[in-house]
Amino acid sequence: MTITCPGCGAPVPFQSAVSVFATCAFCRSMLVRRDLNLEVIGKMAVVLDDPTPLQLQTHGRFDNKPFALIGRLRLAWTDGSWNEWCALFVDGRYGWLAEAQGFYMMSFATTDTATLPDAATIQPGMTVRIGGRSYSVDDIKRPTCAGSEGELPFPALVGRQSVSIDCSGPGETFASLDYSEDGVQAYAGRYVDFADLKLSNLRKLDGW
Amino acid sequence: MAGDAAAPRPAPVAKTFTCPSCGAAVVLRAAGHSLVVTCSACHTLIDAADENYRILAQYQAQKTFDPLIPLGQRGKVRGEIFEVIGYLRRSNAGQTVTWDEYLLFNPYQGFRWLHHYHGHWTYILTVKSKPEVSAGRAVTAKYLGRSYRLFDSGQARVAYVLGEFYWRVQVGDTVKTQDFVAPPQILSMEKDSDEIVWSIGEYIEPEDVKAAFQVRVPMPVKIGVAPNQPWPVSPAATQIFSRAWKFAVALVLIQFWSVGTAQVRPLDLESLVYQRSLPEAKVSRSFAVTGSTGNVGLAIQVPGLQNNWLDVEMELINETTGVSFPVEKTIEYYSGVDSDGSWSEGSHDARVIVPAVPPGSYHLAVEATAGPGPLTLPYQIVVQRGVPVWSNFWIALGLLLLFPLLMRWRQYAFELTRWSESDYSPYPQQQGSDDD
Repeated sequence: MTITCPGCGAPVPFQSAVSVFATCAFCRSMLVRRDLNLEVIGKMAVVLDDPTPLQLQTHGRFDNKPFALIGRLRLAWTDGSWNEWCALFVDGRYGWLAEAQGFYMMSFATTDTATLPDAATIQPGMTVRIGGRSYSVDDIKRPTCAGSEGELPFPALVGRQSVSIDCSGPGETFASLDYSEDGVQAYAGRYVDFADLKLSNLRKLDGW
Repeated sequence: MAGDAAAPRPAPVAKTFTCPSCGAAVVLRAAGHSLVVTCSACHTLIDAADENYRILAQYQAQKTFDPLIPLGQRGKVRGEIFEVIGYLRRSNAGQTVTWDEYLLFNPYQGFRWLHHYHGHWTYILTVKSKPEVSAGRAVTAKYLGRSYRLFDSGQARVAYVLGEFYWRVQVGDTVKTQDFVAPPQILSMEKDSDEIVWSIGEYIEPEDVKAAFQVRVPMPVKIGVAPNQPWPVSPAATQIFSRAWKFAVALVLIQFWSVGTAQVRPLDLESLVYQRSLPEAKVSRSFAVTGSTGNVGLAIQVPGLQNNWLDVEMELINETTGVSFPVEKTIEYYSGVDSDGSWSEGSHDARVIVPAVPPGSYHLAVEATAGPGPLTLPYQIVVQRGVPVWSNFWIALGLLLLFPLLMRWRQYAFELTRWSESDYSPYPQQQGSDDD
């Protein structure tokens, strides 16, 4: 589905039915979707200039299922930053491909968030149950949204604050908890090798 | 990465800014990842994530180090190109041991490390799954199904910083470390107050590092044996080694099979009597040696031998071709009683093997000589076919195992040297070399 940007008239693609937020690639208007209407809520002021090899419409495979990156959220905290790419799978499902310091993690939202502990009570080293499995809490970060592009399933305004809790399970599995004004979200997934993602349409990087 | 229709302008990876301390140009080779960077001119440590490039520390370097591989150098390691973006010199708690660490970056692959100590190099990758540490007879860590043995526990302190890093490194930063080895791999744990980081390293030959990064100076000479240095053995030697073992096993199997299935067939029995008064050659009756070419055993039995010897010269003669096989055997037997009791020496019988006897009709010419003593001495010669022989087997086995055993011994010496640097050696420790 493509909706016309109310700011500049450019076509704004909405590839996923769950996307409610998009940034116009032309005029950088931040748009919130209400059914078939788009509402401009401001302009994306920041430029995402990190040297990520990924970009919107990078294609890849996870567990042999093809996906495309349709949106990204850049998160910054006191000691660094990372990207959360919204990956839309062919079956309509979407996952999050996190990209931090050259590591890649694919995760999917879990539904049973009711039993999760309160953010304030979580300490590193604690065990939490996420999606029926036990994970160990590794660290707790308080990132803010440093920008976004493409379409996302929630409004990711610059400065949006959250509490992000990284957890690890057996082997290469991991989970994360995200507490924000919109509530709590839990994601579970695993680390993936860059080569195993079989990515295509990567961004060209100067000198590489 | 290639072949996309609309080729947009390549996105920049590196970034240049002006040093807030000295005004020199500072290059950020992994902009967006790096949190700190040092100015190459004045060594000031700068906050790379801060838009005003805040000064974190004026570098008080009493001593500077020139990394062997210069920053900015690119090299292909294990099939991927990486750029050297950072250099750390770190030391143990007592600052008695110092080593180099190079941070490598590729925007697609992420970060890697090259570790250098005493001429030994290791290529390192941070791992995300947590190895399981268990303490049994030895402390081990298990990672991806492989078990690594604890080699060292200690501390690592940053002594010198050059270039850029994805965390806020400072001189003096200290972490607790544990190294587990399964050469050529090393599994390392670093722990600070915030987190535990595991990494996996693999030994890399200095010549490979030199070639990859075009190092122009000679590489430091290897000193001692590194914790994860593989036993330096050529592929040819390994092949000889494994083949020698296989041949040895085959040899043993063949020998046991042939002994097990061997049928010692008696061909003839000659009952003879030595007569001192008649020392002449005696000729046996004819007997047939059947089957294919093989050995003939001549077993001599002298039951009445007592404190004497009997020397038997025999000639096995082929009656068709006239070819003869001469052999000789002396049988001795002595016994008596002395202050320690009764004793005996020698034997009443002996066997001599005539190898490679073709089939045919044979007879035996025998001439015996005895020591001083009885006038007559009866003896028997049993002619046998297909007698299993062990001596050749032992010689062959010895020669075959000589090289593998020598290699095993050298490998043992190598492991001993490796573990002499460890407090967790599985080998008996030599005393007095405790320097940590």
